[in-house]
Amino acid sequence: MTLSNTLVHRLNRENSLKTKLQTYTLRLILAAGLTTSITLTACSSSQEVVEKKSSVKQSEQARTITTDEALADFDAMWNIINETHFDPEFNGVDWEAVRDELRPQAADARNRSALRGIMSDALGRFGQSHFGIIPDASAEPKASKNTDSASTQTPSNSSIPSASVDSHRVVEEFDGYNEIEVVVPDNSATDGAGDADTGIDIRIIDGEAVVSSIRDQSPAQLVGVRTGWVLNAARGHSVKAKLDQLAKYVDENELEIHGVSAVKNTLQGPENTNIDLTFEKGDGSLIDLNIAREPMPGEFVKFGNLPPMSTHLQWEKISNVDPSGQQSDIGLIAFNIWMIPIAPKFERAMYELRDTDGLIIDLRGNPGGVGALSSAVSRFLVSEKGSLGTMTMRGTELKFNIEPVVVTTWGERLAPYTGPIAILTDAGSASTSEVFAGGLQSLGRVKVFGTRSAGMALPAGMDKLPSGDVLLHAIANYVTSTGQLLEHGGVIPDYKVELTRKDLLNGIDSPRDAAERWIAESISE
Amino acid sequence: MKIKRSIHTAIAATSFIALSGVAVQPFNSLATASITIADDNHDAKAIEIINTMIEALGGRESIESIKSMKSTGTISIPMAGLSGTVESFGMTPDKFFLKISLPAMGETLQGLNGKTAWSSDAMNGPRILPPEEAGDLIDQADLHLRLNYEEDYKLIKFEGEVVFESEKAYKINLTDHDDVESTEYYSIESGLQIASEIVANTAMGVTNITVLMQDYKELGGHLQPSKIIQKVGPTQIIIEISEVEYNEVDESVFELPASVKALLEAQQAP
Repeated sequence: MTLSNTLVHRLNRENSLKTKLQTYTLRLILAAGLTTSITLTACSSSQEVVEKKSSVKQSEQARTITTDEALADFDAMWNIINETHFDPEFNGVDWEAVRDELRPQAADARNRSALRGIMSDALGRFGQSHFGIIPDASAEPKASKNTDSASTQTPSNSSIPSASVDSHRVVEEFDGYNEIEVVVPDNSATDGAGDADTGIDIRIIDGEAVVSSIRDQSPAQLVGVRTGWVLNAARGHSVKAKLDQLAKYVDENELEIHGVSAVKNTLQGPENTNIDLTFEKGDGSLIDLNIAREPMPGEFVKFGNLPPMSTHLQWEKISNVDPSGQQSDIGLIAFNIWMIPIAPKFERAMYELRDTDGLIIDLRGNPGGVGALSSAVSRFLVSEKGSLGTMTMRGTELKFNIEPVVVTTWGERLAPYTGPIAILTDAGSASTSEVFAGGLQSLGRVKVFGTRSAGMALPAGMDKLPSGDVLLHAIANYVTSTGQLLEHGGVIPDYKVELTRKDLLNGIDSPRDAAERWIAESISE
Repeated sequence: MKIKRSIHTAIAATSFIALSGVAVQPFNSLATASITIADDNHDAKAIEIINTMIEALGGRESIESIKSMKSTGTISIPMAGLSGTVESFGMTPDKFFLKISLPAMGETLQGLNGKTAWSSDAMNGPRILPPEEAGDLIDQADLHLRLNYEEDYKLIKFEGEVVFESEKAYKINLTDHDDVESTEYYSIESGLQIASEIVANTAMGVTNITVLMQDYKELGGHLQPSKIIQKVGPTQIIIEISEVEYNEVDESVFELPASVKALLEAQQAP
C-alpha cells in the first residue's frame, strides 16, 4: 500500500465517508435504471441515521441470518471487487484493510438489511458510481401485462404483482434506513409498489419538486395538473421538508437525482389506486387533488439481474415557421431508459424522421442502461465510422465503435442522419446517456443543451451473491474519444439552459426551445 | 485468401451492464492439430504435444470424417445475470451459422456462407463483417482447421511447463502468417487443450481474450469440450454444449437473411 493510499483511507475514515457511501450506492442503482427505487431507499441514507437506528435495531432484533450466511455474501462481494475493479489501486482505497475492518461487522450482522448496510459501507469507500447492493426481492420479476415477450416473465394471478408485495416488504425491512430517502413516509400500502403512476414527471428546481411534464391523457392531466406547479405534499406529508433534509447530505446534482427518484417512487403504485396530492399553483394558492394511477407506458423488461423496468420511447415531428416565413421540421425523440426494446423503436423513429431538418434527442431523466446501445443508436446519426469512447478494464479495453447504418433491420436502405442534432441533458441523465451524449459531443456531431449530467459513467457488471442479492460493481473506466472522463464531471452542455418554474408555468420548456432555435439557425446558415 | 485469425467477440460493455452480442469461440474444437514434421519454425516438442491432442480426440481419420456438425447448448453471462440458448452449425470448409437467444436481448446471429461473413442482432442490425473480424467465423467453418497447423502458423514454439488455472500444462506459442500471436495450453495429464489466449479483432476493437475448454465429453461419438468459457477482462461468457450431431446439417441453414442480403446489395451498388 502506498502512502497516498494510506492517507486517502485515513481521511475517508476520519471524515466518515460512510455518509457518502450510501449515496454512492444509490448512484449506481440509479444509473442502472432501477426506477422502482425500492433499493434506493434502502441504500442511500445518512450514515448517522443508519448507525443510530441500526444500533437500536441490532440489539432489539432477533438474528435472522447466520454468520456463515453473512460472510458468504461479504466474502463474495469482496472477492468479486478484488478481481474485477478496473483500477488495480482501487481508486486509492486499501481494499484489504476494508475487509479487515468490516468483515467482523458482517459476521455479527443480525439480518440482511444490516449486512447490506455494511457491504454498502465497503463499496462506498471507492467514491465512484455503479457500486451497490440490490436486495434480492427487488431483483425478482414483476408481473405485468405489458411485460416484454422477449423477457418471458410469469404473470401473477394477483391484481397486485407479487414482486411488488415483496418490494414493499423490502421497504419495510429497510425502514431504519429510509428516513431521508423516502420523501413521503410510506404510510400507504400501495405507494412505490407498483407499475402505475399518475402521469406526472417532476424535477427539483430551487429545492422544490416541480411538475416538469404531464403525460397526455393521463389521470394527472385529466384532473387539471399543470406544469410548473409545486408538489407540496403527498398524503399530507410535506415533500419540501423531506427534500430539505436530503439536501443536507448531497450536492445539488445529487439532490436532483435522488429527490426525483424518491418523489417519483412515491407517486408510483399499483393500477387502480389513488394518491392524495397537494400542489402549489402559479399564484401561490394550494390545491388538493386525489389522482388515480394508470399503467406506465411502454414495455416492462427484465434484463439479467436487474428488476423489471418500464421502457418507452416517443417521437414526433414538430413544424416551426420562423419570422421570415421559412418552415422547418424538427424530429423529437425521447426515451426513458437504454434497454433493448428501445433499439427497434429508435430505428423506426429515425426512419420516419429521416427527412426532417434537425433532430432533438431528449435524455433528461434517462438514467442509462445497456451501454452498447449507445453505439447502436449512434449508427443512425454519424456518416463515418468513429468511436464514442473507450472502456478500460483490468487487462484489456473495448471501444464503443460506431458503424454507420446502411439498411434497416427490415432490409430497407437508410442513410445516416446528416441534419443538426441537439441532445438535452440534466442531472438525471446518467451512465449510458452520458456515454452517448458525451461521446457524440466529443466527435463534434451534436450540441448538448440543458444542464450538467449526473457524472456517473462507469461500465458495470451485476453479479448475484450467494443470498440472491445482486452486487452492482463498476468494471471499467470510460473516457470519450477526446479523452474526457465523464465520471464525476458529467457531460457539460454546449448551451447551459436551466429549466425554470416560471417558464414551466407558462408552458415553456426552455432547454428544448433553445435547441429548436439553434437548429433553426443552423438550417438558415 | 487467408484472413487474419481473430475472434469475433461482441462483448460490449454495458454499461453499464452492457453487452452487445456475444462471443463465439470454438464450438468446433474437435478440429485440432496434426503436424508431423518438425522444423526450425515448428519445434519438435510442440508438435508432439499437438499430435498427442489429436490422438486423444480419436485420431486424424476420425476428425477428417466430420463434414458438418450442429451443436446445441446454453449460454450464460453471469456478470449480467443473462442466460439463454445457443445453436451452432458448421460445414467444412467454409460455412458457419450461429444463433444465440438471450431474454431481453433477442437473437444474435452470425454466419458465413462461403463468401460473406455477417452478423445481425437487435441492437446493431445487419452487418457485413470486415476481414479483420471475419477470421473467427472462417476458422469455425473449417472443421479440420488444426489438422493443418503447419499451414496456418509460420511459427510454433514450445514455451515450457506451467500451471494454468491450477492444472499442469504445456504452453505453446503460435504465430500466424499475419504475425498475430496466440498462446495455447495443453493438459499434461490428459493431453487435451485446456485454454488459449488470443488478441482478437472485434466490433469493439482489438482486445485480449482467454478461452477455457473444460469438461471434455463424448458428444455424438466424438470427444470435445462441453464447457467453453470465454473471458474478456473481468467478463465471462460460458457456453455449455449438451448435444452434437455430425454430418446431418442442411446447407440451407447458411443462407443469408433478407436484411443481410439487402445490406450486401447496398454495399455493392455503385
